[in-house]
Amino acid sequence: MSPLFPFLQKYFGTKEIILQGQNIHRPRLQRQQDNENFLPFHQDGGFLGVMLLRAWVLITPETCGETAPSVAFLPGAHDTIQLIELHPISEMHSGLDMSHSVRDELLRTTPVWAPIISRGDILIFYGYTPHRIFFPCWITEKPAIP
Amino acid sequence: MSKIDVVWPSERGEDVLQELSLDAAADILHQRGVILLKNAIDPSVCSVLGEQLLPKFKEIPDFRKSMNLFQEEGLAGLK
Repeated sequence: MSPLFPFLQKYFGTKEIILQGQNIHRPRLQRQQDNENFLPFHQDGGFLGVMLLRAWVLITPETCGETAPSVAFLPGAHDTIQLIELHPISEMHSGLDMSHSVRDELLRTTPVWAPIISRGDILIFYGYTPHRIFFPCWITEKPAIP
Repeated sequence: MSKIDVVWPSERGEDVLQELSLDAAADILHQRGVILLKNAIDPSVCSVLGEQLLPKFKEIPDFRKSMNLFQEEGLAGLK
């Protein structure tokens, strides 16, 4: 049995867990050459206006973070909804792009964490945890669908 | 279920791989805001999920440029 539900039950202190299937219908191809599609640092909880726990599984390829794009986090910066950037890098992500001054300050003080994820792992994070798409510098083409 | 394998980011951004109790793992998530549960779901489930979902992606009208890009990539299941 997957430890996900026992973990969530322990985390929330209840046996009743509400799961919301979201984003599974909105995959985004992330490639370095598609700047417009490139997700900047953002907070899901801030974007949706409610506090969430996110649980991601990798569909393809078998691993990401080494030879395929993954996701990068600013750990420990999940207690506050940050301001939104007034001059976002892309119109597509206006309203999502975290304040660049806040982002830069967090980047100055907080090491970025880009986990290597394998198919079968479950990535869990707060809706307020800042995150963005991560491209290992040696990746050129290979896409990933988290 | 008493313990699970997790990876979490240290204060210095390094991977920490540990076998933790559910309580300890929940504390780590609370402190760091993110945690990776290792081998927490049968990988074949993800494979089946992919096989079922990928073909359906192309049926979704509100897909903007991504769909075309997926097709250009010729990903398995999207042809």
